[in-house]
Amino acid sequence: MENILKMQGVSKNYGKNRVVDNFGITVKRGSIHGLIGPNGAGKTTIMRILAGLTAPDCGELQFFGSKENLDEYRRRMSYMIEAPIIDPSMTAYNNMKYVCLVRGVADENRINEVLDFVSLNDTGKKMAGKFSLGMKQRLGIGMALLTKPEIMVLDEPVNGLDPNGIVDIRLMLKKLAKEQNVTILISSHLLSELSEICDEFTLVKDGKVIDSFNAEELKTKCKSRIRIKTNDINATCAILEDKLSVKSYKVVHDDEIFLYEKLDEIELVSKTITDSGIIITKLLFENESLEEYYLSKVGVTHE
Amino acid sequence: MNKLMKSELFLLRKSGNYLAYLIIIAILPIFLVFVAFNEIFSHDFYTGTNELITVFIFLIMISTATLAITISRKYDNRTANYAVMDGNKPSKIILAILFSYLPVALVMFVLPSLIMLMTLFRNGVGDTDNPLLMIVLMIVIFIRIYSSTILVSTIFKSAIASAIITYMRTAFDYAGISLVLEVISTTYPEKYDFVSKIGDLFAPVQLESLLTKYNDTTYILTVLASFIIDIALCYVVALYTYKKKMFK
Repeated sequence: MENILKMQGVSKNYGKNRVVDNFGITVKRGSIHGLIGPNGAGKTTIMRILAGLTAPDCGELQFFGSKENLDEYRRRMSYMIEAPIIDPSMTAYNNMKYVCLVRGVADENRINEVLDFVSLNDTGKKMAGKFSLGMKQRLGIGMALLTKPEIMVLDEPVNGLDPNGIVDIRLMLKKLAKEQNVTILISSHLLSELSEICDEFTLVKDGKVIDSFNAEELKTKCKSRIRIKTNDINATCAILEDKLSVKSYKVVHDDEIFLYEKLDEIELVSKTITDSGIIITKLLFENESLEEYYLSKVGVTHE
Repeated sequence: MNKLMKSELFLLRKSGNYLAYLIIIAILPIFLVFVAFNEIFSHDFYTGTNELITVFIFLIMISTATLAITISRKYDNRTANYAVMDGNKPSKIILAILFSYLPVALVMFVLPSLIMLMTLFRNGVGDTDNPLLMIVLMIVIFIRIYSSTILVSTIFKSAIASAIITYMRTAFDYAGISLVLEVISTTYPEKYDFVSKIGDLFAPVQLESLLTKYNDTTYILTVLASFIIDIALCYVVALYTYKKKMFK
C-alpha cells in the first residue's frame, strides 16, 4: 500500500520543553492509524504540525509522497484537533456551509449528504452550542468530511463521550474507511477503543515513538494468559510453583493470577488447583489488551 | 481570496446578531438627531456642530468596538483555524478579513456622514467651499480608522479583549490626545506647536479638524501620509502577530 503521509525526525520545543522529539510515522493509504499515548505525550502537537497550525523546529513532512507544496496537499486533508471547531451560534447546516465556503466546496448537496451520514439531519434550527457532546463530535467529524478528504486527522474524537457515543463514532469511522477509502490518523488515550478499529498503531511517550506495529503484530505482542481467581491466592501460587513447576506468573489486584505458562493445559491447571482443596472462582483464557501492552511498554503497571 | 471573503461575510450574516448590532449603530444617528435636535440646531452654529461631532466620534468608538468583537470572536471559537488548515497564507487571510469588513464599515457610516455633512453645510461650519474635497478626505479618514481597527482585531485571541482595547484605543486617539495637548500647552507652552503637530496625526483629531476648519495642503498631506503609515504599520503588526498566534 502507498505511503500517504510521512513524518520523519520531527521535533518541536515550547520554550525549553521538548514536546515532540525526533518523531516519525508512516501512514498507509486506506488504513486507520492509531496514535496512542497518555495526556501530554505530544499527540495534539503532532497533529497540529500536520494541520499546519504549528511549525516544527526540524524534521520532514511528506503528504502523498511529496515534500513540496504541503499547503496545497493540506487541501486534500481534513482535521479535527483538540475539539470540534464549531460556531455555537449557528445551526449544524450553517456551520457546514461556512466550512464549504472556506474550503471551496461548491456542491451544497454535500452538506445534506454529510448531515445524513453523521445523523444530524433532524437538528433543524437548533444552535450547535446547544448540542450534546456526542452531537458536537459528530458535527465536527461531519465538517471534516465535507471536502471528501483523502486523509482525516482526528484528535481524541471519542473524548468525553458515553459508551453509546463511542460506539457511534467507532462505527462511523469504520464505515468511512471501508466505504469511502478515507485514510484516518486518530489519536486517543482510550487504548481499548483504538484496538477495535485501527489497522496500524504508533505508541508515543514524551513526544517519542516507543513502538509501531500493525493489528496482526498486536495479537502476538499482546501475550496470551490464563486468568485464575481462587479463594486462597497464596496457596494457589505455592501449588503452581510446587506441583506444576510454573515460573512465569504474576499476582494482580491481590486476588488474581495471570499465568503465562501451561496455556495448552488449562484442564491440568484447573484439576491440580481443585485437587488441592482450593475453590476456583474464575478461570479463563485471554489475551493481554492493547492497554496493558502499552502500559508495559511505558513502564507503568497497575497491580 | 474570494472564497475567504465569502466565508467572512457568511459568518457576519449568520453567526450571532452582529450584523443587527452594526445596522443599529448605522441608524442610531437618526434617533440622536431627534433627541438632541434643540442642542444641535438651536444653539449658535459652532456649539451645535461641536455637539454633533462629539456624537459622531462616540459612534465611531462604538462601531469600532463592535467590529472588533465581530472579527475576533472567530479566534475565541477557533473557526478561524479552518482558513489556516486549508493551506492559506496568513497575508491572504488577513487581507480577506480586511476587504470583507471594510465595505461593511464604510456603508455603516453613510447615514451618519450624511447627517454630519448636512448639518455642517446648514450651519456653514468647516471647509464648505470645497465639499468634494471634504467628502474625499472624510472617506480617507474613515478607511484609515476602520482598516486599522480590522487589522488590529485579527491580533486578539479573545473577542472581549479585542473590543475593550479597540474602544480604549479610539478613545485615547480622540480624548486622550486632546488631554495631553492641553496639559502640555499649560506646562510647556513653547512645545505646544510640536505636540500639536503630532496630535494632527491621529485620525479623530483629523476628523474634527476636517469638520470645523479650512483644510490647507499641509493638512491634506498629513491626512494622506498618516493614512499610509497607520495602515502599513497595523498590517505588519497583524501579520507578525497572526503568524505567532496561529502557528505557535
